[in-house]
Amino acid sequence: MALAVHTGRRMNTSRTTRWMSTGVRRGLAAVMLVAVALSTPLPAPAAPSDDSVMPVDQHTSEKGRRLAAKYTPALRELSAKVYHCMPWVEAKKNGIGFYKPKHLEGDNRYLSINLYIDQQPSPEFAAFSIEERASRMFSRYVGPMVRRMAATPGLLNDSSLDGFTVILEWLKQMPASPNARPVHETIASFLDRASAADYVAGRVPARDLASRARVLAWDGETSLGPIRLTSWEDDFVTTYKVANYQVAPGVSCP
Amino acid sequence: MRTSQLRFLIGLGALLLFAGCASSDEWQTWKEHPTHFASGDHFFFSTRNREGSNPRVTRQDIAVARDQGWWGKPVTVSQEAILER
Repeated sequence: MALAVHTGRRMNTSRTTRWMSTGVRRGLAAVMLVAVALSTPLPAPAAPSDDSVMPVDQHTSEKGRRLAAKYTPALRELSAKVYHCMPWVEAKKNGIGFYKPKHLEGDNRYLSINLYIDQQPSPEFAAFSIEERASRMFSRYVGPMVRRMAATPGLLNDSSLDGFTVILEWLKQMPASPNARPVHETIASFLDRASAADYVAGRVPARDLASRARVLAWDGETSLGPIRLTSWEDDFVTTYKVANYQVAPGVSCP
Repeated sequence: MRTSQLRFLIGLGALLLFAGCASSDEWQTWKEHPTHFASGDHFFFSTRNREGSNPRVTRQDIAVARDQGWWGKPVTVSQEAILER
């Protein structure tokens, strides 16, 4: 004799089975999600945070804001290319924008980029004079960065733009002790728009670029004033590859 | 309510399951160097790039390594000394 089974609403076994089945399916799905989350690398961002591009409203003149409003999308693309394609380089916060060089009179607006070059200073590099180190960094980065900045459609022909600034900063030498603060060297290279256009068009060769630029230097926080550099063609930026570096999906580097 | 409880328990079980996946060698290494995986990012990078496999370096890895290897505030000129907004 079978035991009497109360089959009221809460004892409906088929409902319970379905509930369990649904629960198990959902549980398995949760397990799969956890497994995927733990085993799949986080995707690299398609673009860096936008804090390397100075917001339009932080430009202090109408001329600067107008330029920024017009070209900010292109500047973000430039920032993303530097971020993904030159991973040993860091564009500083608000390092890209239409700034006014402090040494110039009037509201001269230069498209500026401020970069920290992450490199280990070798003893050979440290043994050079500041002019020699700066010449190497200038040749390596200033020309290529001017080309990238000037590639923005319409920019070179925009009469509101007065020129280009490339600021380069690097570690001068390894800190002498673990407690010592690292000292950086900085050069700021200013190139007026006509000179930049001549360079981009090939009318000024790389070896003459430094003589067309005004270059200011700093040792740590100490200004060294204008320095005279030599320059040459250097394809480092396009040929150097970080070992095993994997460009983020959807990003193409030249 | 019961469904959410069941899901929570299964999720917790999955976490415990994966937490127990470290080999005895890995646990030994961890015991010897308890701060080795102090950073979750470092741990993530280490587990993804196993010995013998081709390591993959993403932009995110470089940014994290740069942050972790930072030596402190450098002595350098500020951007405001060179440019005006």
